[in-house]
Amino acid sequence: MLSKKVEDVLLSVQKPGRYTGGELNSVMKDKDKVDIRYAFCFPDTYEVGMSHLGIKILYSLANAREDTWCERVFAPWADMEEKMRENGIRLYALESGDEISSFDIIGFTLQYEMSYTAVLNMLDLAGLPLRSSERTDLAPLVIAGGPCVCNAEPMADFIDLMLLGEGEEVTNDLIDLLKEHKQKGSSKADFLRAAAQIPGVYVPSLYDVSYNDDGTVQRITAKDGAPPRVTKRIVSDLDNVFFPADFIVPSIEIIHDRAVAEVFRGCIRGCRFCQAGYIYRPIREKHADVVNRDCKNICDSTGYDEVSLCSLSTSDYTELEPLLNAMLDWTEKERVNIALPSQRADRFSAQLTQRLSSVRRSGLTFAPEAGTQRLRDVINKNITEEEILRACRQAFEAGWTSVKLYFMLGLPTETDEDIVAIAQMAQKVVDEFYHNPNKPKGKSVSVNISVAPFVPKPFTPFQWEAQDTKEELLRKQQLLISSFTSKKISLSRHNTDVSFLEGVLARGDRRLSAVIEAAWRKGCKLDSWSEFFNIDTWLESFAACGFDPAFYANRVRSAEETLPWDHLDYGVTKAHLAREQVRAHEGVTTPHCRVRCAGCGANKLNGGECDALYQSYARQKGQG
Amino acid sequence: MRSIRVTLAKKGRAKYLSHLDMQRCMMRAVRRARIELWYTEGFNPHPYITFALPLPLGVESESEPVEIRLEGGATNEEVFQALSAVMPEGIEVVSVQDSTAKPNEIAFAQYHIVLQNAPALTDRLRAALASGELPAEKLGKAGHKKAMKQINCCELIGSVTVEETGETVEMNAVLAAGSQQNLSPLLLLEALSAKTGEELQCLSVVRKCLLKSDYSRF
Repeated sequence: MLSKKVEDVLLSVQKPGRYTGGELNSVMKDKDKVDIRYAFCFPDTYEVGMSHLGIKILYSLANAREDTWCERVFAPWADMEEKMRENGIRLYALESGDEISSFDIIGFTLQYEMSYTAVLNMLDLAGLPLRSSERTDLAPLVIAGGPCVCNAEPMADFIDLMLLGEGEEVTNDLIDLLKEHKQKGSSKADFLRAAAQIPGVYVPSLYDVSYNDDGTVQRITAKDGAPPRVTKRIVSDLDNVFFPADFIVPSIEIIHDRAVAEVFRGCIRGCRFCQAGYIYRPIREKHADVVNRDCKNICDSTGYDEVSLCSLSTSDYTELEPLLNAMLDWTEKERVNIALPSQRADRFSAQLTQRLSSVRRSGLTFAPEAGTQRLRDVINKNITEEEILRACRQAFEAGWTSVKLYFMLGLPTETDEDIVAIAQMAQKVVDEFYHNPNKPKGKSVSVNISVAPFVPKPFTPFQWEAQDTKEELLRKQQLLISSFTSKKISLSRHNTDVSFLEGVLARGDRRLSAVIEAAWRKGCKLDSWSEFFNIDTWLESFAACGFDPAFYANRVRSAEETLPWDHLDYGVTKAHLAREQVRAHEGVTTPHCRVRCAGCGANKLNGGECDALYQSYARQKGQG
Repeated sequence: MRSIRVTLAKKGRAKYLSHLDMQRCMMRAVRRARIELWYTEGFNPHPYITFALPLPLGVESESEPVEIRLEGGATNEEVFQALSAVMPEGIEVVSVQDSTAKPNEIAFAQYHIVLQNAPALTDRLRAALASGELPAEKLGKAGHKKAMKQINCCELIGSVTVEETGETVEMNAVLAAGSQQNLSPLLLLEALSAKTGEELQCLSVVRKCLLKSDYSRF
């Protein structure tokens, strides 16, 4: 319920529906009848956070326990923050309206580096000390999960423990242990030592990091019985993993306002720039009938008229055809659209895409990532220009008039020729439209080129590479703009300063905690929003703390260097990543996992099993 | 195809939902209730679910008519039961009837406003309302463009009473409503704040009902 203080300010802020709770399917419990109160925090606005699938899964999962009440918390927009600070309103959870400082667990999902200052701001709004060492009581325990914890060392000073990998099982393990220690009245230190024994739980304060004179990491040492290496958790059987039968239906419009079901985890492709493609391995598929059931349940309980089939590359799902056939049985009748995000150009079918969405026709997006075949081979994109043009041709023939193409700038080995080739490819796509004899009369084509600066990420073959400097990226953007030859082509660019900072934080070490805190103290709080991002404030903070951000972003690391995340194990071996880096520089591609297993090592997390492994053996057997 | 009028009440936290939020919310509720809808024909078929008159954000309501076009043979009672079972917190189905009146017949809306009392507030409000001049600015159209427009609230008030009830002051106001002329109760309060020089503390605003030009219920 909303407090009087909150009600008094709601009509003076934009979109008050962000702060009220009370949405359909949100979970209410009696706080006196639960043992653990869990504030699940998304360090961004309501509209962004509510669009995220992970929060929906883990919210339902924790609330399925009778002993736990999990509630949602988002970062307030600046107008609300101001009102909160003015009127002494502390950060509260949407379901109960209670201040989260009294909760047992405050859990943040770290989806992108640019949300780090929002975490600090939320802790402060909750009235809590920022640093783990300054929060001496067991409650509230501040935890974090999500892809960034594969190297959230820059957040190490603020977070009590991190959950590596998939959250479904480890969340339950952690709640069980916390409940036990809460009843025993354990100290925070005792609890953290015990929690570090749960597989997948990483307690940053139980590791000492020493540094060489050149600033690189010398050694990471576990203490108090913590494991020398923490291995991420995975769920072995996706068909039986917890998946909610309903989603909270937001009352206000959010970014992805639709039902979502997961079809598989991991990715067979091995694009060398892509962190998600490596850290979510091994491949595990859900069966089509399970996915179909999930989709139907959620549409029934929410009233959504669109369902998205989610994975890193949905066109690689082996049961896609049976799934779509089963779904179309009811979606056509009930006028539900099926969205297939992340389609590969080489697997695209215009006919299929058209059939799936009977009502709306959105734009199409493909991701060639690089302009030349040479560079696409370097990054192991395994897609040809002809495949991209064929996909566009098909789409134009089916009546689409706009396509969006994603590229990256600043990839390893990139030359000016690769950049000019992006413009050339865009022109060829425009030409495809005009070569179509049946093109719709009076309609023009629009080709949107989106270029993002390449940011090297941990646990990828490019984790040792240097990121291009801002100056070099700006030069490359200008070169690209001057290479365009048609007004039908438009360009969207990313802010190079944001990419620079993202690169620094992605591969940073725990000394950067001081910089993040300094930046927050100077006013950085929602860096993923251009309204609030200020690179100068960040640069001042680096200088004030005595760190050079270029050391983290623009430096080539040697193979021998101890990386800040070397004590974390995401399954894929460092040796495999190193082999892939060599192949990248040789311009040699690695076939996807179903053609031939490249021996990444991630299957050891799943008792040696990987869904793609079977398929690759079957294929080799068939050929032999 | 047949048209029904679903009358909704909007209370509590639901008052923070905008008109567009309400439309989306209703669309989903109807789908959850598995009510068979009539769809428009053409390139982009969509159902017909139309609120008679937008309700300003922050205002509660006891009676919001929504027109919905149905296919199939569900009775009004069946629609009432099915919808009532799936509405989110704060939004209640009051009744389901055959649709007869058209939204352009709406001429007034009746509001109940509760204000925090202040010294001599009742008299000052009455004097302000009786002065015949209550200027306010609202966003209106000037040709094709939107522009701020000066209005006199008094010209848009059908009737208004002000009563003191101890801690609070209660107003019952019938204000012009509809597509031709419309006065938001929140704008009226702004104008009254400006005129009386008293920062009015509004405790609640509830729309009681919509009226036709002869003051009969819409």
